[in-house]
Amino acid sequence: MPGDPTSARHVVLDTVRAGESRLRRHRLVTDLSRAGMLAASIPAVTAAVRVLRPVSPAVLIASFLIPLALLAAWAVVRLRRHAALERIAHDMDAAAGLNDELSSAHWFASHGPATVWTDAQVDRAAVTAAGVDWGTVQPAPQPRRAWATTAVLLGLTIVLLFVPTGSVGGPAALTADTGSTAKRDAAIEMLRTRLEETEMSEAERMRAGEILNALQREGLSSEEAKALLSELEALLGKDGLDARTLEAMANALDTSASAKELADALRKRAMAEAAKKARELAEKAPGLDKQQRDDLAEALDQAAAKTDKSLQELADEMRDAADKLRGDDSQAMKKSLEEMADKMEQLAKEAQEKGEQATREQTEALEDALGEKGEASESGEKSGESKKESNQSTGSMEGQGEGMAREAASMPNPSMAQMPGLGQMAGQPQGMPPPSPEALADGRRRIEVALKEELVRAHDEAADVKPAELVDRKTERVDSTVQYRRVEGAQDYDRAKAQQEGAVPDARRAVVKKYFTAHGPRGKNKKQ
Amino acid sequence: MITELDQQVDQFKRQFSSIKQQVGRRIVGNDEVIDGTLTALLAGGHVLLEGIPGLGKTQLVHTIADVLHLQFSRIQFTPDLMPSDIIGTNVVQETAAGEKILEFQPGPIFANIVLADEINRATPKTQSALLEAMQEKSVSVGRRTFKLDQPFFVLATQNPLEMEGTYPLPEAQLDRFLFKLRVQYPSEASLHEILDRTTRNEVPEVERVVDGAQLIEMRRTVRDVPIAKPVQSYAIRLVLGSHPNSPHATAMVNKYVRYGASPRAAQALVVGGKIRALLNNRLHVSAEDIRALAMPALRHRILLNFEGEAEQIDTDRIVADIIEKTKE
Repeated sequence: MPGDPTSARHVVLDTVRAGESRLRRHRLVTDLSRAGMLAASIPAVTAAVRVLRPVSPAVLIASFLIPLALLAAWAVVRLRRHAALERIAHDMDAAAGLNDELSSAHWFASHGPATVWTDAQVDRAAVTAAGVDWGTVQPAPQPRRAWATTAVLLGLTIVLLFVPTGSVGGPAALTADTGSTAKRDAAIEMLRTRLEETEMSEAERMRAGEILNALQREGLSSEEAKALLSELEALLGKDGLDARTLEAMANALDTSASAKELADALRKRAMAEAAKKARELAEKAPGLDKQQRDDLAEALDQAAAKTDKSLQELADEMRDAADKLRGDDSQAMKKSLEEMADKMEQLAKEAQEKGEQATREQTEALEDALGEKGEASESGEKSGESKKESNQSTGSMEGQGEGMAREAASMPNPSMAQMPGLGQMAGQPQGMPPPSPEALADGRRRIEVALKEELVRAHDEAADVKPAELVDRKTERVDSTVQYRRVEGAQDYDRAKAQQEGAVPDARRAVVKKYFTAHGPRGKNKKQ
Repeated sequence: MITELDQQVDQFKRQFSSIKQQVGRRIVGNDEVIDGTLTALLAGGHVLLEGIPGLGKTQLVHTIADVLHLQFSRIQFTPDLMPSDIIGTNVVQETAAGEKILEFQPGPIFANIVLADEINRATPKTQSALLEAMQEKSVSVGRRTFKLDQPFFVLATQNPLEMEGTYPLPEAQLDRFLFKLRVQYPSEASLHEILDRTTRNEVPEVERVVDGAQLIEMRRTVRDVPIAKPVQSYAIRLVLGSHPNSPHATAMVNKYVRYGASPRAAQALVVGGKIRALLNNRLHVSAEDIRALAMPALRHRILLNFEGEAEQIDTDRIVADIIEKTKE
């Protein structure tokens, strides 16, 4: 209400606040349109990649959600960031050609002091503010191009999502790639199952799990995969027996003092060792007293009772040995125990072969899958692979000659890196053939030559003079061989130049004149 | 209350435009010089007019004195002019009783409007006498001090061409002029008008529209106009921008300027801005007002360094650069 200073102040302050809020929204729209364009490009790129090669659904969803979340967070931050009201008022003045009316009124209204003049000014500004044309003062931004680009990108993303994977860019390679991925996953799954079934220590189980996880990751080199597979094979292949049965048997055998060692070997699932212990037992059985033999026979019977079907033959042998132990025929008891040992040996061999076979089959399947995958990627990334090989050949250099090898690797011609005595001397990369003896010999010669040169140079410098002599000997006079040349002084040059007529530029004549007028007697200067 | 204020502003505007109208009867063109002179008069400052002879500088001052109904005096500065020729001197007077006493005879400075023509021709001692009176608005002779009548307005002129035998005003004394205005050569159309008016028998007459009291009232009105801090800050930044090595200085200032403008320049900008605001029917000073007055208020307060002198840099260029580079 014009005339009421308080009301007028409110009108002015509210108008400026409204302007600030409006400006914040406008800036947000403008910035969102640009940021939205960027955000929309991320899922579009992901969708395009999905057409060429499989992309996991998680990645696809993340490519939509992460930019969206970032945009939302950024929008919240942007909306909360307030601009200075004075600056807003000034900008509104400038936009509407108000000659600082609003900004001055805003200042008077918010800072005072209230005088007749400031009240009148605020009152006038309130009238102006009430009739402000927001379209002129703060025109709404219309980033049509940015919105259109965003819409196109989103549309493109949707279209690309409907395109089946592998329909573009070499179906054969893609099929091989997807097939190999599926094979690899299946092989790893089988190995996981086997890992669960196989009895092993916790540390070994953990390591095997880590190896399987590593094999499932992308970007593993064939050498690394091979190393991991062989380690896995070693871990999984050492056991083919039911550990619980063996444990039960071992517990039963523990009741006899003579069979303690045999029980321990069985508990460790070391069947070969168990056979050895059984053979030792056969040797010493005839020497045992009656009570000990009965205990051993009882323990063997109990152990035989604990076996399952897979160890039926061993159980029979154990029972037979127990019977013979109860008798007095020492030859028979020795023989029956040796037969039991033979059976254990056979079982150990079979179990190992069986376990190794299963593991080998599964690891081979996994190896095949990994190999196929490598080939599939090779078909599209020949140059990348060759670069990798080059890196491997230089990256694994170590030991003597490493510096030389690095130099050679950085030479313009990459073949230089393979020069005898350079690359090979530095250390042989994995998977590369070993260096030839000639190459090694040549490399050694080069290094020797370099060292000799240094020695020769050092020898010259020392000149057969002992350090003590160097310190004590007299100073020698040596005349300079540089010719004397007269150097002209800069002053002479300046004086000669200054004496040239007309050397003072026209533009500086007035200053020179002013200088002499200021410093010299006026009249004297004038006469000159 | 606000209505009275509006009336006050209206009256100010009316009086100003009527003065300008009357001055315009005799002076053709040079609106900026007329506006600047009247602004300085209302701001309580003095003006230094620079221009070649014959452009109507003296005529302008004469006309203003006539229009304002103020006492006018003119001092032609020459090298032999003495301070006593300006401020006056004690002369021996004989009373009726035959007694001889010293009586002060006021000089031409005891007037409301003083025209100091070719001020740079007098010696520094004489210049100082005038410039001291300009600043203090009083004159000391012997042990007595005489206050000068208000309004007191000095309009000095100097010829930029003839530098021989002149004593250029020192920077400290130049600073005492609120504005330095450059009188431009009239255009062809203006010359026609000048000839038409001055080559006939009829001499254009002017009316006295404002007297001294009204002028002082107008000055009071001017001082009431409020200025918001951001605008005042802009004026300060313009002034600081003329100082080399200040955070607001431009590259040109750093290169060519030895000393920048004094705080008097900021005062000139703000007071001048207030007058300009009133004339534009505003109750507040805008940055545009400050900008418009930056040239006359700063150009004579910038002291060039040797490089600036050597390259004959015009201080107007430096001020224009400061205006351009200083953000509101």
